Amino acid sequence: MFKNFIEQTINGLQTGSIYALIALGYTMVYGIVKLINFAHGDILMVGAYTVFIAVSNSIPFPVALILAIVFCSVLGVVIDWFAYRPLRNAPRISALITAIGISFLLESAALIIFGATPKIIDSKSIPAFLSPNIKINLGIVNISMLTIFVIFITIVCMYILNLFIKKTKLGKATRAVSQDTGAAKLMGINVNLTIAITFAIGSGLGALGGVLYAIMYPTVEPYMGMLPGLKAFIAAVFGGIGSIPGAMIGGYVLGIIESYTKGYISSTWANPIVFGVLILILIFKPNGLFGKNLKEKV
Amino acid sequence: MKKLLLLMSLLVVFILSCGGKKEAAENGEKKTAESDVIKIGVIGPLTGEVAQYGEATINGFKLKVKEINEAGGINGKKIELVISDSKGDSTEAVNIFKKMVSQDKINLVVGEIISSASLAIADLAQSAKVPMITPTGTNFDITKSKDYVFRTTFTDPYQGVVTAKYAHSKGIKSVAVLTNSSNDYAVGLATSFKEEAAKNSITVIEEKYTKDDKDFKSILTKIKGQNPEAVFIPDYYNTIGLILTQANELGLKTQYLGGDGWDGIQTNFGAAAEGAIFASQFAPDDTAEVVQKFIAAYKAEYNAEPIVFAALGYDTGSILEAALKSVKDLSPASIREAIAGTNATNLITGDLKYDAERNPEKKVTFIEVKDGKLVLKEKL
Repeated sequence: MFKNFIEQTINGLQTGSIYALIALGYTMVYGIVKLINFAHGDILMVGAYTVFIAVSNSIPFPVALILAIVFCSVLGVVIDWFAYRPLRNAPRISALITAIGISFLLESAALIIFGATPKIIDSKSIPAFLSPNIKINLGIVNISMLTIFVIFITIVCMYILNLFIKKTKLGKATRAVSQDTGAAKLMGINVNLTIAITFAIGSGLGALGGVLYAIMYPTVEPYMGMLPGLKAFIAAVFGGIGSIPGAMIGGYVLGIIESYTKGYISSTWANPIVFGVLILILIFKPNGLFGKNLKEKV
Repeated sequence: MKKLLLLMSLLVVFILSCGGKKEAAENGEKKTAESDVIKIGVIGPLTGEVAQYGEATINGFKLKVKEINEAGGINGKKIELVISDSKGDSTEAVNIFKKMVSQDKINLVVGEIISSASLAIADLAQSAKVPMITPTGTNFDITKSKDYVFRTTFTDPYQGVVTAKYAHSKGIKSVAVLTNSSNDYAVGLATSFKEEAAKNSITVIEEKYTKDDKDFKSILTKIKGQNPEAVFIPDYYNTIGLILTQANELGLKTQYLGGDGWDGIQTNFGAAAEGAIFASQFAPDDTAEVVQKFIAAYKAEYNAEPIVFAALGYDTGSILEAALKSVKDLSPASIREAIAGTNATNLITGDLKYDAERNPEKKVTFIEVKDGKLVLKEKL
């Protein structure tokens, strides 16, 4: 009974980690340009395909992972450059609709290039530290290396990101731009560069999440980003969109709720309950758990 | 969209069924007088997204017909085929069927290959009183209360029942059933499995998931806690691959059982599925003489490995051969009568007899995943 509970919690932490990694991208982009980047979920699909191609061309997995992160970071910047930047001063709804357009563009492109048949990343190429089949005994339960790695890497990423935002000059610039773009520009901050860096970091984390997702659930297909993207978006809203610790906590809470629902109620109820909780949060705490309560200044 | 198509084709069937009946009756009279050939209409997808199924089935059937004709035909009559490509589309299949009946004056129809199109022409065949046999349509409703419609494959519920019997014969006392509740095929198999298991006093726990689920670890953890002797997963191989990978990660080692949707699991998930057993109709490594002869003949004719669809197409030919040998005349009624009384032996996919709903009662082949390959386990 207790063992089962611990195992379900670990399952929840693992899926929660993936949600948190992807949610960071949503939250960072929203924080800085007030845009919900709906194409973000598809970035993780691109990341997974990049690793698939690299590994099938016998590039070692760690290198493939780095390739995927770099490729998606660049892709994020390119998307911002071509699709969002021209709309920086347009009404917010235009950028939102463009984001949905980019999402469909990426999905359709993947469908044309790779076809609808799911691809599978060869399990032989996955190194030991990421293997789902090597388990470590932790007293009463066994945890796979993959689970440990996913949870560990998420926390490390979060820590580094926090350091970056708090301690570095670029991080300071990011905060300044998110607070007041106009004033930041007047202070000599390169706003476009700052935004590009945000997109790069967010997309890179999305790619990392996507690759881990593709190892946990070993099929890669054009629409694989949709549901985790949506869940991660909910996690970001849940924690208060724009807040980095919020995205992280939101991801974990969501993962754990899902895991407990599947384990103790029924798998078919997982989605209704997750979305129900979202509605409740928005009713009682419209800014999310860690959201700032912004008041209009007169 | 598919429902709309089906609805529209059914409407067409209704509107045109009155006309069809008269024509067919006239055809029947004419045929009995003049025919020295047996004309069989073949409808199936030769292009489009399910073309590989249609092609394999029709190739299998053509191979058998060629053999029959080379051996002198049936009671001195040669078989003539009228083959049309339906693209797997119900409306197309209905149009082809009507043309075959009115212009080509066929004696009976072999087709369709996929369930939805088979359903569409089954109604038409019934009201026009043209004997029809679908080689591969598994949906239960295709033959239901249509006494002119038959099939070669087993039905979805039938494999569920036989798999439950198999589990019982292996002394399994408790089974966890994992059902994809958004897939008719999976629900059909799971329901009949549960019913049959209850009759054999096997304890069943059921867990459900939906087509959107990719994370099965929570359900699998729950199942692991209950420690069943076997886990039955009636789904298609890609989803099963996901489930088995995660089950391995959790260390849930048990006997896995499944239905014919598992065929294909060996390509990507052979290691994860090691030792699993599933119900099927055709095993390429079956040492039975008919099977090996068929495989050799098929390879010689088409230069390709036969899949289960090809075997079912070939068997459809054998069933018709057995039935038509005993037929008095070529009127639709006597052909129907003859097929209903078929007792076909020496089939690739198991000897067959028809039950009251014209579904085959036949042996089911159980296949085991071993060293990343599919091997014949036993027949039940």
